Amino acid sequence: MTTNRADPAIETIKLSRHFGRYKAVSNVSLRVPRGSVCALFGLNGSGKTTLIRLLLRHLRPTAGTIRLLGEDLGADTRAIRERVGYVAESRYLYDWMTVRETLEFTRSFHRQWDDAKAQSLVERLGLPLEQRVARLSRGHRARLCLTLALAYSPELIILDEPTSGLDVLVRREVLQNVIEEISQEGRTVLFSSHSVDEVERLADRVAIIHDGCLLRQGPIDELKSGSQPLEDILVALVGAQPAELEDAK
Amino acid sequence: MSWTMTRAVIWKEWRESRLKFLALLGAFHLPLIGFIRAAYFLKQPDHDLFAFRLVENQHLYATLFYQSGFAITVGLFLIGFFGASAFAWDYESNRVFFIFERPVNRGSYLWLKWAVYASEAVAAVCVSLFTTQLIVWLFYNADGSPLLAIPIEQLTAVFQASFRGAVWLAALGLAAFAWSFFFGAWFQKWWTALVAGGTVVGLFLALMYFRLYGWILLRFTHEPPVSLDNYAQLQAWPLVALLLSVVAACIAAQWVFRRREIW
Repeated sequence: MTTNRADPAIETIKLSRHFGRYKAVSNVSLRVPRGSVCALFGLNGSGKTTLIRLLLRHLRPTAGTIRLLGEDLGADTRAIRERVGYVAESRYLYDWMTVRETLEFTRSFHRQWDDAKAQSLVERLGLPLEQRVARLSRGHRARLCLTLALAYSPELIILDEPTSGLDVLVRREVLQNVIEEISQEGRTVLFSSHSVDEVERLADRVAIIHDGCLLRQGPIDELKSGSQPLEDILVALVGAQPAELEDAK
Repeated sequence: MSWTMTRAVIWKEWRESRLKFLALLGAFHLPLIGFIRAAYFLKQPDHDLFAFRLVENQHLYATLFYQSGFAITVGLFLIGFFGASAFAWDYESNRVFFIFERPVNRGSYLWLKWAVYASEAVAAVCVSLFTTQLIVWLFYNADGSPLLAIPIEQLTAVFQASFRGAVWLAALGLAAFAWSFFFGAWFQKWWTALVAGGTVVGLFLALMYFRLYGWILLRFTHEPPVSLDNYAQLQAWPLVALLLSVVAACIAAQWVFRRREIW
């Protein structure tokens, strides 16, 4: 399979995943161009995480196709995993490892791993190398996950609720600094969020998902074609009460 | 999977399993409590009845008999629990995602994990067969009493026979391990896997215990006249059948793990 720079970074066609009669994701045709920062916006339980897990092949689709970086996502996803970085909301890490051991363990799996880059991220994000992961704060866990996802310079980075449970300072550090840097390097970022503020501040595109269905997608500027605030547009689309969005902030 | 990845996975699995392995190894030495206690009583001057039997010096044979008996009953459950718990760390809080997110073939990961845990299970069951005898031998020879001392030739003879026993125990241990490992790969909750693994071992013993006893222990008498040559005589078909069941369990584990979905 040859890949073309013109291919979108993410392309799903009529993607669905049902759990019995429950349709977690239904007929989603998502398109994220390369080099963009796309926010996957939706309220809690709207299907964002399921969609991301389908993109990563952690879940098998009930129907539909997925193309990442121009390649069809089949059963064997090893090659594509070298090109995709992922930070899960739950930040899966082995608690018994130290930060240094976690970095060295992860390094073994990625041919593209860049020691200098990892070192620079460790220093910049202030990671305590000899500390056990179990003793890290939530903020440090998030920073470690980001370091692991970025140190092999993936072309596409998927962040599932990257700021959940983090305080304002860490949010800014994690999202603003890191995402801006990634996008400046021409790489693609897809992050899920239920915070209007984050979406507006960081993304240049948004895909709005509600009850497993993709309601709208496109550049934020196009979505905000009038003077109407983004929050009002999102409220109108997902049918949420402003209070729910306020909670999400 | 490259050598670097292989080494990393083996390192992770060993670090996660080493305490469980030590616990398993320790558990396989539990019969020593009985052996040493018996030896302690025999060393008491007022135990003349037992002292009669000391002349025959059959303690090492008894150790071999009861240690093998322990291994093919309680030992199989211990291995079953060990195998069923192999994925406990990975599945706890979905940490297996950490591996799934890497460019790693799931099948290769499973093989490596299987190899590390199976080596530990087989090592625990086989090593304990020799170490219990060695410890018993040392205990009887410790105080230099000519009445209690066991000649080194007897230890050598029992060790030689134990190699046959080790083949049987390795095959049985692998079978118990492989099936419980399969349940560990299948069920996300470690305790469900534990119950399933224990149930399978229980069913196996319910159906096969007398055959096992016949194959390994029936013709071996540890009292005079001792028949060490009859201990655990190797028979092709039961051993081959056990190894085939190991292969079947491995394939089943591969199948469920490759299709594993976690959310």
